[in-house]
Formats: sequence, structure tokens, C-alpha cells
Amino acid sequence: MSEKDDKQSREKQQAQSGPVKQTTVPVDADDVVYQAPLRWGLIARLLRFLGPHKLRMAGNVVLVGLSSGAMLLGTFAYREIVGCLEVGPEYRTRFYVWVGILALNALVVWQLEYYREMGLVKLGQRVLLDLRMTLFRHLQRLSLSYYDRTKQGWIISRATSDLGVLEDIITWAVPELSRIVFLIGGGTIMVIVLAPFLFWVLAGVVPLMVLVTFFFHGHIATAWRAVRTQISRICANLAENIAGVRVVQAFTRERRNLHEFDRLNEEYYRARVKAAIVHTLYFPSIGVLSAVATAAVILLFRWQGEAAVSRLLQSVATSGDLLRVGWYASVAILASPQPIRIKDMIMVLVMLRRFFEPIRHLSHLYGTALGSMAAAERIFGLLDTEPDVKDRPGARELPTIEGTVRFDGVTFAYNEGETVLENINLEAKPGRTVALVGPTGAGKSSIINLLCRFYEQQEGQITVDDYDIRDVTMHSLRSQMGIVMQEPFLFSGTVMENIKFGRPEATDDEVHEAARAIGAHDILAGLRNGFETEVQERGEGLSGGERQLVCFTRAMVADPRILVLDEATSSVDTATELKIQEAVDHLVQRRTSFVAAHRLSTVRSADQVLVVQGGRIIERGTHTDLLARGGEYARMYREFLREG
Amino acid sequence: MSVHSHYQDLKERQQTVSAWKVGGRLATFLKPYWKTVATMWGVQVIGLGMMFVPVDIIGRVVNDITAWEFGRFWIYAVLVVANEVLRFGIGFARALLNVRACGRAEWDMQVKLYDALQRMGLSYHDRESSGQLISRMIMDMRFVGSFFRTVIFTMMEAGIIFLVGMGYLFYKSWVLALWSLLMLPVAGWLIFRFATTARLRFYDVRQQYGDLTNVLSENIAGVQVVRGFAREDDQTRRFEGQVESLIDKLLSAMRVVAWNAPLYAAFITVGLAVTLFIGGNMVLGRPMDKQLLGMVISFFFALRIITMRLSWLGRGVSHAQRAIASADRIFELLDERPEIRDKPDAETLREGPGRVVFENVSFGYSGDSTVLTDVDLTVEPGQMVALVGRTGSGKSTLVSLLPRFYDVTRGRVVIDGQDVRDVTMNSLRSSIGLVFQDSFLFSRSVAENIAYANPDADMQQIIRTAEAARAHDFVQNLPSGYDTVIGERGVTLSGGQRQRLTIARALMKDPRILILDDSTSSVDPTTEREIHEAMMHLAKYRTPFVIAHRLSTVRRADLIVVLEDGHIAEMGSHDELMEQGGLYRTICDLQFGLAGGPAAIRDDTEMLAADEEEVEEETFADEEPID
Repeated sequence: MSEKDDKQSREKQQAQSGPVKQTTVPVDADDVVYQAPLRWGLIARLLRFLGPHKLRMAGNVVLVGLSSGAMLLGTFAYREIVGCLEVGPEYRTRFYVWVGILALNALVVWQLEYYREMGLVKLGQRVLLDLRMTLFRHLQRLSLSYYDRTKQGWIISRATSDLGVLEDIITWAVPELSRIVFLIGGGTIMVIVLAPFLFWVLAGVVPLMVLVTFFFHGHIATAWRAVRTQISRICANLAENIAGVRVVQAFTRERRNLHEFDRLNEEYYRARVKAAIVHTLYFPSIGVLSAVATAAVILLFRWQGEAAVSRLLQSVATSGDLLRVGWYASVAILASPQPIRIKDMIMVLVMLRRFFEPIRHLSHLYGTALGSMAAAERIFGLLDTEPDVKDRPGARELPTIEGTVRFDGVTFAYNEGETVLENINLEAKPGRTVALVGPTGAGKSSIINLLCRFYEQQEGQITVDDYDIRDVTMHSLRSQMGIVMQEPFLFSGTVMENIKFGRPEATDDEVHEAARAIGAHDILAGLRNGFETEVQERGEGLSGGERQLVCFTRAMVADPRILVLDEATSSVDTATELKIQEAVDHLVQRRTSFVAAHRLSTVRSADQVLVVQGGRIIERGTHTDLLARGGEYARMYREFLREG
Repeated sequence: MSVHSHYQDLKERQQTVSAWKVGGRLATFLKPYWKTVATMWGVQVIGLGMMFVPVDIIGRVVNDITAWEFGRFWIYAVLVVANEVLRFGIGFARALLNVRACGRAEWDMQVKLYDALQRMGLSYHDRESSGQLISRMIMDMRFVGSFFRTVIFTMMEAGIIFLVGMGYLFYKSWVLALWSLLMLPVAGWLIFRFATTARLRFYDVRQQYGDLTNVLSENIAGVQVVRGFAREDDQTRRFEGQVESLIDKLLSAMRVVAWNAPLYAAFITVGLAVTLFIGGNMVLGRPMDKQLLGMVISFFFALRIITMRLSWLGRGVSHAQRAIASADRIFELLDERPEIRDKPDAETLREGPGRVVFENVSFGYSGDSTVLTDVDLTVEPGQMVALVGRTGSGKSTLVSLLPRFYDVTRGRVVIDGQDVRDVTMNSLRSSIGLVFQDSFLFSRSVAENIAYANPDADMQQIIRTAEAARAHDFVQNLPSGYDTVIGERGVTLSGGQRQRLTIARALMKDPRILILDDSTSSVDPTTEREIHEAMMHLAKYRTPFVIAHRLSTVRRADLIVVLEDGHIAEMGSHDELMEQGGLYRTICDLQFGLAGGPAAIRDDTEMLAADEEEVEEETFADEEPID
């Protein structure tokens, strides 16, 4: 009560506050990739997907090592070439050899990189295949209650965008890290061995590069997230207003919507400018760092050069300018004697550029890892969801049945405490039709859901030919049942393929025969390309009535012992209605049928009508019996006549 | 289907479209910002020229070392750093200028496109299914946006670097420069061919990815069917097939990348080796020339920079091709003139009671097929008209001529003495309230949806209208009442509730003419009657058109128009038409159940009459929740 009062008072406030508050199109939060701190447990679980491919991964790491080595050899070749030129004509042959090595080595790197890349892509795809199929199989096992609770789009995003993110981290983490170790480690060792005094340049600049990269990484990621959010908002706005363009035009909202769209674009523009600023600060700062490194190399050479000069001066041992001699002496002592070679300078300069690439990859990888934490959590959450309804251990195959269905004291609630069905008892003899009538929410669909074992009752038992349906496998149970849902769902493909869905081995003739038997043949054959008409996503391209007829034919071809039919309430035009009534009449013949009925004709011809209200069966009998009894059913029927 | 065809189309266009024409037209979007663009390029040329400063300095350092001369090293070091700091500033400025001009151009284009889309006649939107149109537009705009922001920029930059760089190379040594000129066209060709092939293969990957997502989403949407027929294994196999085919396509695309990207790098290295070979020979041949080694090294680093940027150019070209194909589609849309627009001398629709006349109206969606033929119909103000007929008989088409969603092929539609084609669409549509079959609502608050036509309405008005549409009660019980945002997590409305909101939305306009297209089908009969009564009460002078299948709705109409194959078959009141025993009678009989026909109903009624008693108002079927 108090809650209602609350609402009313809020309303009054609103009434006083004047014009309506503006909201914007909401963006699905899950579609924007969020970053979360690294969690090693999750990473370990992710890397476990590499398990079956350990050898391939090891092979890849070896290839990374080889190609990094070859790249370093290339750098070394540059050094040697310059070195030969430094010395002079006597090294001419050596010079030719190194130029040849440089060129040949380039071809080797090319081939190594090709195999490495392809190997990694194959590996990644294999891992992704495993992940995808694991997820898909799991989705096939999850109970319908899960699908009731969860938005379709959410599940699809998990299986598409989230998986993509995970694939990156699983496949790229190990090779990228090993590239860093091989290339930067190897390069550093090379410098230490060949030109130790230049090591200090690397030691000073490389960590700074890493720091700067990671520092900007965070800012760049944030800026891009803002841009992406704005893009999604623009897309959402566009999608909605184009899908609803009739409403837009009918309500002459074009100008206002354009204005709104313009505003969204302005926000997008601002986010872009921000992202551009962060982005343009990053690359030039790396540029400044390498300039500093270059300057440091130049100065180190000067230092070494002066040291060499001062050693020369010392050996000449001229006195006079004491101060000058002192300076030379101290430099000569501090700087350990090193050969001043142009080739070392060239090597370090080339190497610094080489290092930059893996550092950037590392920061990218780090970002991916952060982004994939949320994705991994969601996917594992999905994989860890246990289906509510599953085959019992030791469940048997249901043998071919006659079709007696019995409910004994069945009580059921979707959520604890909200009983939907209470103590339902019913029996359907083979070949008979049971019509369930009653208002929506009375429990008709729940009875059907339990019979199909989409859900499990809390109390009582449901038997088919004296087999408790919980003791048999779901597969054997459902393959003897035909289920026609209220919403006629079709898959993309031809009408023929859709009809054969329930029994793929059926022949075309059987399909035609079934369609004829339920009187749907004219309509289906009269479609654009007859039975070969392509049905688009979710049955688009066929009218509601046509879709229903395809579904009926599908059930007819499956030829089940037990038919479960939830009649559609949506209105179709009269001629189609006639066809549908005819089809239902034929479909229920010679099999045990449960129909959640909305059509009078269905109810009238049923062998047994069950009136469901508030989760109980309150009346049962044939149409005529029930009318004669003058109870709830008679009352509802009278209402129907008055209104209809 | 959806994703599939976009990429196919893009692929074909990419091969046929005239890049210069479309590109030129794209450039016109930059025209208003030409000053910014010009400034940016002025700054950029300087910035790019400065790239070669450190390269030259290294050459000098090498020469000084050779000459055992270390005096100028401090100057070199300071110059290198100062140059880079300056470039930092220039880079920053040019990026800002770039996003300013190009971001604006993108913005302009998006808004222009949006405007064109929403102005386009409905016949256009009928032709292009909306889902496809949207995903295509979003994709195209993304490609074109990146074209403005990065592609033009990268390509121009690569071009400038090439020119400035070649200038530098020739300045250093024209012999070496000529040699390297031989290598550059090959490099350019390699990179260009690679980028194009790769892109085309990636279209196939995208396409396959779309198919795969489709199988997945169908499997989720149709989960009951899959389980019901116990076809889980089949579905899994089907999905696996799609995944495998995706892997095949991806590998085929990646093979191009994995082969060519390092090939380009290898080619450049070989080219550099050749340059070093020739340059080195020069050095070794003239050992007395102490300046040569530094020159060769400067040359080497400069050439490296140029070739590196050349690879960007290749990527740029391939992106540009994609963007041009997308832009071509966008321009196609921009060039399409809406078929229905205001006449130059259109007047506003004058106030009037709402008298509607269809004079000899014929109409066909596309030239040859006619949907309506010679419809003559006069509706007096306040008269309720019900349109009846089977699917495709032309009911919805007839009413969509009123707000001029389509124009008649022959004859005319007149409201209060004015032909709808002579008045402004704004005034026409403001006086017609429309409730569509599909109860489309926007993802905004309930209040905003109701006040859609009149965003400045106050809450009192909104609540009053909601009450009239019998929506107030359930809206109050929503989590945040009128502020509840439709479609947000956890908020689902039943079909009936949606319909009532769309009715409220139409009533909000206080329209002269109200059109309900089968819009009370999901509402239970009692509520429906209440809505109708409220409607009639709310606007005495309103002329309602109702399309309905349910007889309870139709029966209440003053005038029932039975359409068949695009012409009026019968017209009159319920009783008159029942009397006539024509098509209307047949439809009525059918609705009362076929099993026994009218006779059975009569029997049942007699049986019921035996214990006739007061019947309290309760409903047979409540609302079916959707989604």
C-alpha cells in the first residue's frame, strides 16, 4: 500500500515539475569492453585451453626465437657492413659477404615469419574452435529456464565478441612475451658484448619507453572507450529511428530527431578530439625518447673520443695548460678505453628502432589482458551454469510408446514460493485430444512445459506409458513428441528444410504428403518458389499464417506419438484462419494431443476440455458437458459470444 | 543474409566504382574547412621535412668520427633533441587541426545522411529492409569516417615524405637516388597488391562470420524448437560446419597477410642491401673522400624512413578503396530524391472538422502492380470507419495514403476540402494520429514515448492521455512509473500494454483523424471496448479509421468498408451487411468457429439461455506478454 502512495506522490511531483525529462537511447553496457584488474586464476584457466596444443605452442616459441635471432643477425650485418667501410678497401671481400648475408637473411626472416604467423593463427583458430564448440554444446544443454532469464543478445555477445577477446589473449600472450625476451634480451646482450659503453643508452631509454607506453596505454584506452561509447550511442539512435521511421514521419519528429542526432555527433566529435590529443602525445613522446637516445649515443662517442684524445695528449706529455691536462686525465681514467667504432653506433641506432615494436605489442597485450578479464569472467560464468533439467544418471531410452500421459499430483513453481501449478491430476488416453483453456497465466503453458520436460516439477510425477519422464533420456522422450509453439519459429533456409527439421531423413514426397494431409499444400506450394522458398532470419518473408502452417507441417512430418500444441493468439485474416483450423484438426488425429487452445473449433472437437485457473484444473469434460454444467466454462463462453 | 550481402556488394563496388569521382565528392565535405586543412598541411610539410634532420646529423657524426673531430658533438646532440621536441609540437598541432577539419567533415556527413534517411519516403524503406539498411549505413559511415580522419592523412603524408625524402636523397647523391628510385615502384606495387587482395579476402571472412552469428542467434531464439524436436546434435554439427568454414576463410585471408607483410619487409631489406652495396663500393673505391661514409649512412637511414612510410601508403590505398565503395553507397542514398515532398507552393492544412474523401483512388507500390483500384469513399466528421478484408486486400495501404506515406497513382485524397498533396506534410501529419500494427516504441521513458509528438507537454497532459488510453494503471505499477525506460533490463511490456502506449501517443496529438491499424488485437476485448469509448468521448470531432480482424471492434463502427483485391466490395453498417449476406457475412460466420458453423452457435446459445444469469465483467483472454 505504502508503495503505491509513494508512487502517487512521485507522480504529483512530476505533474508539478512541468515538461518531460529527456532521456537518451541507452547503450548496452556489456557491449562496451570494460577493463578489470588482472586475475591470475582466470588467466590460468584461460591458458588451460592451450593444453591440447602445447607442442604447437612450443614450436611457435622456437620459431619466435629463430626469427628474433635472424632479425638480430640482420642488425649485426648492418654493423659489419659499416665496419668494413670504416676500415677501407682491404675489407672489400668481407664487405661483399656481409651484404650477401644481409640480403639472404632477409629472405630467411621472411620465411620464418610466414611460418610463425600461420602457425600461430592456426593454433589460435583451433583454440577458438574448442572454446566456441564448448560454449555452443553447453548452450544446447542449458535449460529453458536459463533462456527465460537471460536476454538473447547477451548470450550472443558472449559467444561472439567476448570469445574474440579471449582468443587474442590465449594465442598472443606466450609468443609476444617470448618475442620480448628473445629480441630485447638478445639485443641487449649483443650490445653488452660488442659495445659495452652503449649499453647505458639502452638501459636508460628502454625502461623509459616501456613506462611511457604503459602510461599512455591507460589514457589511450580510456579515450577510445569514450569514443566507442559515443559510436554505440550514435548507432543505437540511428538504428532505432530508422526502424521506427514510420512513427517518426507520422509524428513529424524529423527536425527534432535531427537535432538530437546532431548533438550526439557533437559529443562523438569531442570524444574524438580528446582521443586524438592523447594519441598524438604518445607517438611524439616516443620520438623524443629516441632522439634523446640518439643524442646520448652521440655524446657517449664524444666522451670516448675525448678520452682517446686525452690519452693521446697524455702520451705526448706536453705541459702548460694544467687545467686542460687535468680534465683530459680524469676523463681518460673514468672512461674505460673503448674502441670508437662507427659500426657500433649504427648497430645501436638500428636496434633502438627494433625494440620499439615489441614494446608496443606488449602494452597492447596488456590492454587486451585487462579487457579480457571481464569477458573471461562472463564466459566462465556461463560455462559454469549447470542446467536445471538434465538426464538422470542411468536414464534409460524411452521405448516406442502408445501415448498414455498421466499427471499425478503435480505441483510446480518457476521460482521458489510462486506456485504456478498445484496438484494437477490428468490422464490422456492414446490418440485423444486434451484442450487446455483458461486465461493467460493460469498455467496452460506450464503444463505443456512440464510434459516436454523443459522444466521439472517439484512434486508429483508425470508418466508416459507408465514411464516416469524423469527416468528416461530427454532425447528419447522428445523425439517421440511433436511440439508446436505459440510463436511460429522458422530457421533461415528453405521451407522444405524447415519442414524436415524434425526428421531430416524425410523425403520430399513425405513432406508434400504431410502438407496435403493437413491441407496446407496449396498455400505452401503457392509461395514465391513453392517449397523451395527461402525463409529469411526468423521466418521473415512469410506471413504469420504461413509460418504457422509450415510449423504444423513440420510437426506432421515428424509424426510424433504425442503432440503438444500451443495455439497462437495473433490474428490472421479469415481465409488463413480457416486453413489453420483445418490443419489443427488433421494434426491432432490419431495421436495424443495437448492443446493450449484459443480457437473455439479446437475446443469444441476435443475429447476432453480442462479449464485451468490459478494453477488448478477447476472443470473437466467435453465442450457440451461443460456448457450444460453452466459453470466457469459456460460463463467464459458466454463472454466470448458477447464480445466476439 | 544481412551481413552477407553488404560485403558482397562492397566487394563488387570496389572493383567497378570510379575512385576519383567519388573521392572528389568526398573531398567536397572538407571544403568548408579548407583553411584548417591548408594550415595543417603547411605545418605538416615542415614537420615531415624535419624528420630528415637527425638522419643528416648522424651522417655528420660519422664523418666527424672518421676525421677524429669531436668538437661539434654537443651541438649535434642538442640539435637532435631540439628538433624532436619541435616536431612534437608540430605533430600535436597538426593532429588537432586534422581532427578539427576531418572530424567536422565526418560529422556533417553523418547528419546529412541521417536527414536524407529519415526524409526518404516509406517506399524507400519498404524496399530496403530496415535491419539491413541500418547495419549497412553504420558500416559505411564507419569506413568513410576513418577515411576522413586517417586515410587521406596517411596517404598525403606518405606522398609528402616521398617527395621531400627523394629531394633529400638526390641532394645527398643522385647516383644512389636513381638506383633506389628503381626499387621504389616495385615496393609500391607489392604493398598495394597485397593490401587489396587481403582486403577482398577479409570481406569473405566477415561474411562468413555473419553467417555463423546467424546460426548461433537462431539457435538461441529457436531454442524451444531445437529442444522440442530433439535436434541438438544436428544444430551442433551445423554450427561446427560454420565455424570450420570460417576458419578456412580466415586462414586463406591470413595466408595473404602472413606471406606478404614479411615479404615487403624482406624486399625493403634487400633493397637497402643493394643500396649499401652500391654506396659501399663508392666508399671503398674512393678511400680519400672522408665525407662519403657519412653520406651513405645518412642515405641509408633516409631511405629506410621513406620505405617504412610507403608501407603505410599501401594500407591507406586499400582502406581508401573500401571507403570509396562505402561512400558510393552513401552518395547513392543522398542522391535519391524523396518521392514524396512538399509542393513549392504547399499551404498548411486549414482547420476543419475532419471530413475525408477518397475520390476514385488508385494506387500501386511499383508501377505495374495495383493495390487499390477506383476507391470512392466519403467519411463524415466523427464517423467511425472500420476497414475489413483479408491480408493484402489493401486496408493498410488505403489508410497510409491519408498521411501521404505514399501518393496516389490516380484520383485524389481530400481532407476538409484540401487535396493532401497540396498541403505541407508537416501540417498534414500533425493532424493525423496513427497507431501502427507493430506497436513500435522508442527506448526512452514512458512519458517521452507518450509525448512523442509534443515533447513540451507537461505531466498532467500525459497522465490524462494515458488514462484515456487505459494505460495509466499499468504505467503506475512499472518500476519507475512514467520515468521507466522502455526496453531497459527487466522492463518488459506485454503486447497489449505496448498497444495502449501507442494509442496514448497518437491521442496526445489531439488529431483530427485517428487511424488504428489492427492496433487493439493484443488487448483483451473488455479493455478494447474501454479504449474505444474513451477515445470517442475524448474527441467528438475525431474521425477514426479502424482496421481490425476482431469482430467486436468492427461491429461498433458507423461505417464498415469491406475491401477485396483493392476495391470496395461492400459498405454499410454491421446490421445492413449481415442482412446482405455477402463477404462480410461470410467473414463473421467464420470467426464464430467453423466446426459447427452458425447453427452450432445457435444450439450452444440456446443451451446457455436455459440458465441465463447476470454475468460479471471478466475477461476470457488476458494479454500475451511479448519479448
